Amino acid sequence: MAEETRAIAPAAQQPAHPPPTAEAVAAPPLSPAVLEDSRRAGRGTAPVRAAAIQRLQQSVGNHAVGRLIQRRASSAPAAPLGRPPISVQRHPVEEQDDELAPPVPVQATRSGAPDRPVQRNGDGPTTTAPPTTPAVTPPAVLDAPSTDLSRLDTIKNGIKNTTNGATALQTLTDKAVVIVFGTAGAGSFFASGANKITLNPGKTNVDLGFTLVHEANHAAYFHSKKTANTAKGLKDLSRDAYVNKMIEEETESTVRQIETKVELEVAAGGTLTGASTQAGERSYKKAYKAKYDADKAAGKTEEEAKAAARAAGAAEVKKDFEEGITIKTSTTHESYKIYYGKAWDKSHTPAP
Amino acid sequence: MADDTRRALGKALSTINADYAEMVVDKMSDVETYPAPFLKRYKIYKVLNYGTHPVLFYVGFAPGAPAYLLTGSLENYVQMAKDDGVAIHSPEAAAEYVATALEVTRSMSELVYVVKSVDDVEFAGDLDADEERQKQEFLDKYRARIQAPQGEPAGTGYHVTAFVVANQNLSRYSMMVSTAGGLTPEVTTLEENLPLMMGA
Repeated sequence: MAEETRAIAPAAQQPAHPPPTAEAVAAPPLSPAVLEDSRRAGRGTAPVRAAAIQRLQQSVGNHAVGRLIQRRASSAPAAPLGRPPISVQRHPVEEQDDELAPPVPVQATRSGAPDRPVQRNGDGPTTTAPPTTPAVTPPAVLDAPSTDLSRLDTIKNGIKNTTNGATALQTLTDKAVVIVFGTAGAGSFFASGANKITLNPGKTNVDLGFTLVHEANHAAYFHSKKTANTAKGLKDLSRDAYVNKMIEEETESTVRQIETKVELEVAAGGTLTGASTQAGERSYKKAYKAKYDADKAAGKTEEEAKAAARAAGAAEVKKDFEEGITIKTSTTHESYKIYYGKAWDKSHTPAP
Repeated sequence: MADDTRRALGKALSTINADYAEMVVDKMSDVETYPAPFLKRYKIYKVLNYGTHPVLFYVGFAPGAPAYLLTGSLENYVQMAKDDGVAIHSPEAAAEYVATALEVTRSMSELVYVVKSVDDVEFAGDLDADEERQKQEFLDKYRARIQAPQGEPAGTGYHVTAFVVANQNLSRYSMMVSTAGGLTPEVTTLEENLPLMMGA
């Protein structure tokens, strides 16, 4: 357990992206001019703009749309779509006249940056972040979501050959779910109202593949009307019923995420570069192994043992969400059972 | 939280992040102030939106001044403090300033928290024998080392040490704090892959 010191500094650049993949044409062609029109319409039309982007992606390809957006970025700098692929926050930590604390760009939001952008220092036990003086960007354009289509291709390519990854990508295409990169460190989530998945650009592409599988499952639940997380669900279901249905949805989303990682680990023959431990992964793997070993010892077939092991792993993750054994919400630091209960309470509390 | 404050906050956020601006005025959101007594004009608002996942973020806002999305951005935190005219003039104030920074700029993608003692480190509840041994070794090693954020004079400003857990890792943050609120952070990863609670 040797100590490792990291001086906070701008993140390393993302590795080169693989070649683009062929995209299925699932929607009628759309004129690129719609981007111009919808951008002029202001932020209230974000879903329209997002849908327009997705239809263009489907009709002319991700890279063509990416190039189009970037070209337009140069002529319309303040518009949400007219920005570089990933927003870059470049405030110095303090102004130049502060001798004690030289300006350091602590939170530069870039492709492939970890949540807290860090730069590994190879040798010494402690190293101070080198002072730099990046240009100051006005705060008004710092944190708007952006679309990095080539990065998205990389993320999709990472999961497309897995069982759950393929299912997720099919859902995203079929349901025209828009994917954007939000603010580094601010989390990833599916917003049903906008039919949009926001990804945390501060995670690695490999981890974002797992996140995409997870959030796509929430999208699938929403579009198939299986989710309890609607105004009607909150109104009609009892507190317990709502909590149980939400935990089931979260469990399935998390298990798909974990299984995607496991599938890629098996394909890689071991450790997966760029992948971190997923929430619930320890519980899942422990339960999986215990059940698999027991069933094999009992003479079950490989197929039977694996199926039972998967079920045991999923059951353990569900228990984990209910009891908070190894998982808490990363935001509110409580078990999901408690959180969903509070959400139900919130919806049944009259506005003051 | 008064409706007019919510509306003003939402309006200020609309030029920064449309999704978050909508969450501020969403009836399924809680908005409350986060204590930051060192600020003169600005207030820090904690916004929690109840969705499939709880979405939580912090915003620095003062009427008539730029709003700052603080979650994920230490730079924005310092910029807000500078706009506010923060003045740090004691080790205690520096420690409080840093502790607040670590909370309101923390990543929401993983379980991140400042620990004041080794007992604040949250181990998973299903440890096997090897993990129990790992836990005990950790407790023995860090019981005397981990402490609440502490400040001390350094040059014309202060130096603050804080210990932070992020999912399975423990890090030590060494922060130089200027009297005007400038921060020079240095992060040392002390332990990795501990069998700790995870965030989802």
